[in-house]
Amino acid sequence: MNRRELVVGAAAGALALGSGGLAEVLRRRSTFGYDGLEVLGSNVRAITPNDDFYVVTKNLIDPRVDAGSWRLELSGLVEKPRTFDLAEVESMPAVEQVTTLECISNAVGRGLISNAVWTGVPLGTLLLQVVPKNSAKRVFLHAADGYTHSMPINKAFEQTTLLALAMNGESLPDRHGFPARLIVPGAYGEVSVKWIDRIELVDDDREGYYEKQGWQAQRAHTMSRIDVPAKGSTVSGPIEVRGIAFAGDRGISKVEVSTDGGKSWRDAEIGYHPTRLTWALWSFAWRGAASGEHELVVRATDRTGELQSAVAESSVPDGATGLHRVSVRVEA
Amino acid sequence: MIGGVLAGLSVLLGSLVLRVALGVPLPVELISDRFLPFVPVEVFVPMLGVLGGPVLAKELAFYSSFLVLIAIGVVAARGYGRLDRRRLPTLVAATIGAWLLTVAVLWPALASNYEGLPPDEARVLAAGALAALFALLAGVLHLARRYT
Repeated sequence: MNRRELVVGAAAGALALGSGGLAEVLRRRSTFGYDGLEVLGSNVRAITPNDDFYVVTKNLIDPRVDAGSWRLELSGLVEKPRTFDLAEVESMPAVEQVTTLECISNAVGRGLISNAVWTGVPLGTLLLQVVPKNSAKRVFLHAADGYTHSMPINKAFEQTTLLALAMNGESLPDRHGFPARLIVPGAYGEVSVKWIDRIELVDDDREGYYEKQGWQAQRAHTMSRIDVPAKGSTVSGPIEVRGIAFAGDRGISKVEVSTDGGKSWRDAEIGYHPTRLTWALWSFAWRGAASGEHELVVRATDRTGELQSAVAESSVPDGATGLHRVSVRVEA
Repeated sequence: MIGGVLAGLSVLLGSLVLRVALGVPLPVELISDRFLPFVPVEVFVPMLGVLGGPVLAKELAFYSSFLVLIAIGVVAARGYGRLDRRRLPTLVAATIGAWLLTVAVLWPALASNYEGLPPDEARVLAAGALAALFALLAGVLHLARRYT
């Protein structure tokens, strides 16, 4: 090997080593370790701890937004375009709101759903400060990671649509949109844009990231899930069946459980369900179960009186429907 | 060949430095943000399934993009090696042309910044970063041809 070859080889080695080191830094920051985190089973609590809250992200590596340089621009069809910094948003009157979010890709019986206490400013408060023009029909939302989504302007003005700055009493974790994200009750989670940095009022129907793909996320379907007992388990004695039910921003009025594969139904008891924006935690005391195989099924009714759809559909394009069924074996 | 590998590795290292230090999206992030929204959901979801789910698909994209950058360096080196005359002016023109084309195609995605830089500043930074990466590619190709 001559001297020139040695130099070239050393340079290639140094570049490869440097790249490998930085790639490892990014891998440790990446979403590979938490994308798709689910909340289900016997450990489900009324309020989901921040570290357990489900995550679905388009990103390889989520943003780490610097609070000092973060700005929120409100522009488009407004009389007084304005940019807010974090201190200005934090100084506005805030509200606390318990709200459940569910991913549109959550399949029947799965756990891409969680519940938290969000603290933030009603989005309408911010929008009023920039005076929307009458021609504004929709708001188009931009985030630091290039993510976009839209929603009707009347949804943006609903009192429960928040620009959230805190989650369960703490600043938003990076993976949940620090320093600010939207909370849009009633819609699937993709509308609750994380790391939001620009809100544009528009009069057209431009589509955001997942809207272009064809996802239709504006109305979450009514869903319910059995968490206990687990599928395929063997149970005996007094049997407690429990789980969750959720209906976007419509609230849950009734949860019913069948122990015979859906032939007959009995009411479950709804425990935690503080507002129509949250999931309901329900339980059912199953007494007198005969020995043998049983199929448990659950269904919910929202507060408009609409029964959960029993038609099994995948999450494409507007969220999954169908009833959660769990087979168990009862031993005397 | 070795010049192309050096050029590709240089661009890879440069893009990783820009991502870690300034939040400038990696080429794979720019490209996926630009084009994935146009993949219909009826294709997108099964595609993720074929790739082993969203997380495996992301890992595959992340690591394979490194090899793609090195391959681009090798291809560019072969092209540059075939030039017999007016090498440097051709290299400069091709670099500027490739940068302009890349900026034009990726324009909507350039407003992203993973450190939270406001969109207009993020776009300037990302376009500048791409210019630097193309210049790095060309510079290493030129030096490698001259000295190896």
